[in-house]
Amino acid sequence: MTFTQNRADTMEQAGHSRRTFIKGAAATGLMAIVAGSTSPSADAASFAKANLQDLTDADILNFALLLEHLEAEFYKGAVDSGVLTDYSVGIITELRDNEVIHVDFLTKALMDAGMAEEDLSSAEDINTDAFDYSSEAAILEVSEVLEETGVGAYTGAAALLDSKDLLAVAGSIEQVEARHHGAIRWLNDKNPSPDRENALGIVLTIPEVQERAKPFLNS
Amino acid sequence: MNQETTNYLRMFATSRRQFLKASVIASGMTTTAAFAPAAVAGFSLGQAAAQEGDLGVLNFALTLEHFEARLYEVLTGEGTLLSGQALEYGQYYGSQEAMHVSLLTDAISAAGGDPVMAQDEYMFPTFANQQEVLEGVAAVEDVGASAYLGAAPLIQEADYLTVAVQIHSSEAYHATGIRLLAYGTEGAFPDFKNRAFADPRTAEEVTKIVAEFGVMAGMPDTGAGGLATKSRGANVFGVAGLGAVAAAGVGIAHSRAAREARQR
Repeated sequence: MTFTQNRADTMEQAGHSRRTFIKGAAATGLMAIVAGSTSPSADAASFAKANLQDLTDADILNFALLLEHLEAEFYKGAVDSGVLTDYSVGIITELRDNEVIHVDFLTKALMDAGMAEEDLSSAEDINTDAFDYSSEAAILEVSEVLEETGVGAYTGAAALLDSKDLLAVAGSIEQVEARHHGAIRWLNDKNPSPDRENALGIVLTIPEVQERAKPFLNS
Repeated sequence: MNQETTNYLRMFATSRRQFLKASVIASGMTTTAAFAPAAVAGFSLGQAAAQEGDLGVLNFALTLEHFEARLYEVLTGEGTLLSGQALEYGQYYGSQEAMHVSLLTDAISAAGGDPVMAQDEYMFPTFANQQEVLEGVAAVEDVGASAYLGAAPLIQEADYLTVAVQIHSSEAYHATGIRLLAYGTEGAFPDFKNRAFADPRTAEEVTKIVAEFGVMAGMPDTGAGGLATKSRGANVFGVAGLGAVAAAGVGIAHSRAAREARQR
């Protein structure tokens, strides 16, 4: 069975729709493809491209929108929790405001591109019960994971986008996520710049991002 | 290859002769790539057909990395004005810039290009104290991040693009670290035109800024109003620009049919 057939069959069986795919409900099929791949290239971008070449720019941006909703919802609750002190409330509030702007921007862009409302990622996809607001430390710990995921997701998506204009937009948001990530690391007493091979920022494939986001999504 | 990327290479290849050499090698590699080493410095040459324009963009990036690496080296070296955490960050970021230099140099060489060398000397500004150093370095890192952001849409080869975006992240991390040291949490982020979207800079804009430090000495003239080096990103930013992208839904291929139609 060829790669493409395998994927198409799996998705058909899973009752694939754009939205469920993006949320990772159909990720089982995707993960099977990943596991069965004969050449799990170390190069995440080529790998993602090889596996996900049928995704349209709209699919990719809708996936980004899901992550932006996740971040926005998390930070909204964090700011409202009353747990944050002067130590972090300024940064967290700015992050919340930025993520809300990203949500609004991507939502409008996708709607104007003709995506049906029921296909759009929404705040209702987020499982807010999964958020731990028990302490400032707990909030900062989750924040660091979310921001790192955002950086890796946009970096991985860059090579998947067909439109160079959208790449410019994604890159712009990616830089903001990296700055957020750095600031959160600082609040967690770490150097803002992670110690990574060749001093390169993180890059994640869509399945990797789905795995990270899964605990915070409604099924 | 479009006109923009052609111009990029012409600007940053160190000579016309080398430009031609690079293109010949590049076109030859399309057929011989299968016999090239599988991966050099994280780039998989099996797929990298060494786009000529990409080499120009990477060489421009390398030009800036040389400057940044040397800047940190000087600022943390003999007679340094930095101490404590600022010195620690300066040394660490300097080592990371040096990694970017090595990575880009190896990648350009591996693709048959001619990596630019560091200048023998740069004209670094004079700083009076640690705060001035931090403010200056923060500005340089912000420019570096904006340069990668402006250049990314000009890169054709996916592997190069991904690495460029990864270095772009690194520059954003450095900028954040230095800004936090210089301005505290209230100044952690720059005041972008639209606060949630980072601003790109074209190569021309970056060149103008860094020229006073001698970064481009000996490089081909990049004179204002000359070659077309505007990145596409520049057009879609600014408050009005972003709104226009959203309003027009520029280039979002919603259906596969649309995507296929575009690729024909």
